[in-house]
Amino acid sequence: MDIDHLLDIFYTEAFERLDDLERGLVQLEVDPGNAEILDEVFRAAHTLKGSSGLAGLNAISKMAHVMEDLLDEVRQGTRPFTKDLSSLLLEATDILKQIVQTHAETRKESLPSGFAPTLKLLAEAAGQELGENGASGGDGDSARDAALYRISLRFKRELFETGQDPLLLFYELAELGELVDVHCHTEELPGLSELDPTQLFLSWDLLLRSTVDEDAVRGVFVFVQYDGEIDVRRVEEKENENAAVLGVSAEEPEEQQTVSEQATTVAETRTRPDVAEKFPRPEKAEAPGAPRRPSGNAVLRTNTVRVRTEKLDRMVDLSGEVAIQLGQLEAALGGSVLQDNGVRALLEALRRTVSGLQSEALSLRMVPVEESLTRFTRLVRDAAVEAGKEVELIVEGGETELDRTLLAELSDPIKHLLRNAVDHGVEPPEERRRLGKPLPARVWLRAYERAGRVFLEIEDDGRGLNLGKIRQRARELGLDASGNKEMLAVLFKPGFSTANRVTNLSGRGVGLDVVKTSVEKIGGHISVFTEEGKGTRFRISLPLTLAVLDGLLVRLGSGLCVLPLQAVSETVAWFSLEGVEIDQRRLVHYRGRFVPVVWLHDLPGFQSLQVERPLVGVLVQGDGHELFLPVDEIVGSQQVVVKSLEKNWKRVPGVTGATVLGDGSVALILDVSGIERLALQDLAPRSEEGTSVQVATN
Amino acid sequence: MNPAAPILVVDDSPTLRAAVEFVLTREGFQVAQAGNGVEALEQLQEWEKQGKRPALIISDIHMPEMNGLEFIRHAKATSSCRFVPVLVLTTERGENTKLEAKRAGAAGWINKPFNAEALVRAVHKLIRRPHARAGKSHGH
Amino acid sequence: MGESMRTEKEADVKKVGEVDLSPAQMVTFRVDEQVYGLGILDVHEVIQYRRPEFAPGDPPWMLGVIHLRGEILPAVDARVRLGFPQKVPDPGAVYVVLEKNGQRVALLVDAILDVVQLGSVELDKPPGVDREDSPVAGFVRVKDRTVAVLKAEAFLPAAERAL
Repeated sequence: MDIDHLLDIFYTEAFERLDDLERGLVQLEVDPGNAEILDEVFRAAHTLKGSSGLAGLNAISKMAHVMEDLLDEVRQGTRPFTKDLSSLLLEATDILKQIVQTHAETRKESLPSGFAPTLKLLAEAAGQELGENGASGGDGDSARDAALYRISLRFKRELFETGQDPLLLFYELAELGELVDVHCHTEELPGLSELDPTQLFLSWDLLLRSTVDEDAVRGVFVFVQYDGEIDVRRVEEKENENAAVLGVSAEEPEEQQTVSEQATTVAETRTRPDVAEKFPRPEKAEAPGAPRRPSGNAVLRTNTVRVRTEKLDRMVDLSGEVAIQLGQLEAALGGSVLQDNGVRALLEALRRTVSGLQSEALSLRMVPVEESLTRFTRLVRDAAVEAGKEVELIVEGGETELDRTLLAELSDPIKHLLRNAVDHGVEPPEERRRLGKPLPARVWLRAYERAGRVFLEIEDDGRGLNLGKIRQRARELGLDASGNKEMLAVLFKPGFSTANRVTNLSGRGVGLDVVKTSVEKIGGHISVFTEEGKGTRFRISLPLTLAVLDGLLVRLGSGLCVLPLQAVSETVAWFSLEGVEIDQRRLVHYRGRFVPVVWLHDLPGFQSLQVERPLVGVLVQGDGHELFLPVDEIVGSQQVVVKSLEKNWKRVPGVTGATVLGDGSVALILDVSGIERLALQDLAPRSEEGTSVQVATN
Repeated sequence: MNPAAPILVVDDSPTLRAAVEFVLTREGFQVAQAGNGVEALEQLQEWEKQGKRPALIISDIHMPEMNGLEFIRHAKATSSCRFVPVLVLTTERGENTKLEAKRAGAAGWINKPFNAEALVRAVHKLIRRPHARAGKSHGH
Repeated sequence: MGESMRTEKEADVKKVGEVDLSPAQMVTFRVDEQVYGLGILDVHEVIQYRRPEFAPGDPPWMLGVIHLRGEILPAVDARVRLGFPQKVPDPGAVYVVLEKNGQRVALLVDAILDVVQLGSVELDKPPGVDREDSPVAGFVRVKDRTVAVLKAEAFLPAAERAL
């Protein structure tokens, strides 16, 4: 353990506590009486104060200390939780985040300009004087001549139950000076047969010669002072000649504080009810203070373990490897071996176990989006305040699960879109009132799962995109903006912005090209729906998971490909389909509709997959259209482990990755939406790849 | 008291636990960690089954899941820990807290934020130093 | 009278062109009639030939992908990349798996040769090989051969990473 390691631990913890604070504070604004959250934020400040002090970041400790005091008062009910207080605390949290971040980068605790004024405000709010942190003084060892101290020790019988051992006290005394005389009183010792070795029957009188002062001597007994009668007094040398050490001091023993049966005044943090059940109260303890108002919307802490994401990914990789190797084993075993029922049964069982292992490993990667999404509540709040608007963020579908890597990548795009919604989408309050629109304005952040993909929507009920302006700007830039489709596609071009105002938060407005890039990088797809006067909705669709999928294995020419089973609607004998050509587009007539046909080998990059004699047409569902993909044959269906092509190569349009089959050969995993875009691209006039747009018309 | 028995540190701050471990292992002690009262009790139960117990327990008061004093009461109620000293970590300097801690069964306390010296001093008040360091002069 | 000797400083030549070859060891292999080398730190391993799949057609040296212990690697034809005509792989053909900047690429070569200690003096580059985008960083003399030292980055499909 070295200092860097310690600091790393601190940084991780600090960010978590600061997140807890922020999240809790924002929630408290809506639900100020919530006891659980009050506890949580109080504890976060408390812990942060402690650990930052340990790590040497004293400014943080100082600020956290005042925050803790304020939150303690709120928690105890002696201070109301006002919006002002909340804003101040949130401000402080931000500042602390900055300090930690800077320290992590530079190992220096540099204070942003807002630190001093905020600290001052906090202190004023708490009614405190900003003094130096009252550090407990160390021993004041003043060099002096040796003095004699008479020490009398009369401990309670049950001293050992406190875990203390008087012997250690003697060791400590011995370090302070010289134990000139020690007398142990054994009068109370019962006979051996009645002796309870767990009880203390001895007492002592000591004479210590030392150069330390009286406080230092008393300091030795600081813990046991409540466990008996301790008397320390300085004696003059000459006194010693007269009084035997044996005697108890003639003067009144100082009034000792004994542990009384008063009611507790320390407001204890609550023990979780299910925990309290598991560990029932031992009899002699007393009840804590009255439980506070339980709330319905508690921020529940579950039993969690912190695991590095690299470890999780490794687990998923390894479990995938096992599956592959199992397949290879099966392939390597000769036909006769596989005929054996016993062997088959074992393989089957093994396969089931491996499959279970894979699912579990996989599920480790999946996280409910809830926690990430609620984080954005703060962002929207701040953006609204800055823009002078009244906006409420509604988060829906938090239980929807998403692969954690995807979720991490989505953070920035979501931020962008939300800021846009607040800055440009939503109208200022006066305008909304004039238009008769509800206040506060609403922005939705919605997650849901459908047809094997996860959808994330950012919607506002603001003014909608100004198509006229977009068209105009497009013309200025010399871009094709003839139809609605093209024009909205143009929105995603780099540098495109119709914003008049430049705001702090969203800069020159849109940045949609960056959003699009980020989304596509993770295999997603973004579309926008808008209606003037009513609002705008951005929809991001994402693959459910990157790691494993159920696929239909098909052969095209000499190569094998995998089609995600969720995208496959049906497989039809090819010869039974009636082909038709319309506008130079091959289609088939199937069950009362015309479905486009896509020969994969016609698409760029797929020429090695020459379908020779198609036996089967696979009907697949893309984002907007259905397609028939003719293939040579269907090989089977199986669960495949998705391997990245991008890691060592690049993103190939129409492909989500590759997989390694049982015999070691590689199969491409086809991206139906991507194929749809590639194939049908030339269907309509040039539209931007990766964007589909719909405009609600009046 | 077995000098090789570990000191159990219970606190929800990983930084604090790491710092305590850092300081105490330098002094020759073994240190075990728990992030909250529940974990700590489970560890104690585990040890009890093996016939082991910690040499000392250092515990925070304000923790999630189970508050510190509650934990101390439970810990001390465990038969293996009846005579194991408990040091409480607290930021509150009032007498009341100390009394509370005492009543719950703690032997002593250290104030947070603490410095390494104070921690070591408090620990030395409660448990013997590991044999390796016995006899060494204690320069503070 | 002894032979005139050029000072052959063994293991002292660490940089060739801009390729840093420390430690001064190279993996050498044959492509067509020429001997090439890659710094040992750039070479992850050498593996048996296996048929690559899904040739994308472009660029012409991309043979497709192969699989190695769970990872998908692009297969690059060293012959084509270095300007030689493509041909059916020799029986002794292997892949040199190179690793650079976290990416791995399987380079198909005609035959694997030795791992050599870099010695001696760097030779001048013959004309035509001096271009920025040339995969050859320079030449060294090893024992009695001229080895063309390659830049590992030249074989990475980095430039083709689609956004």
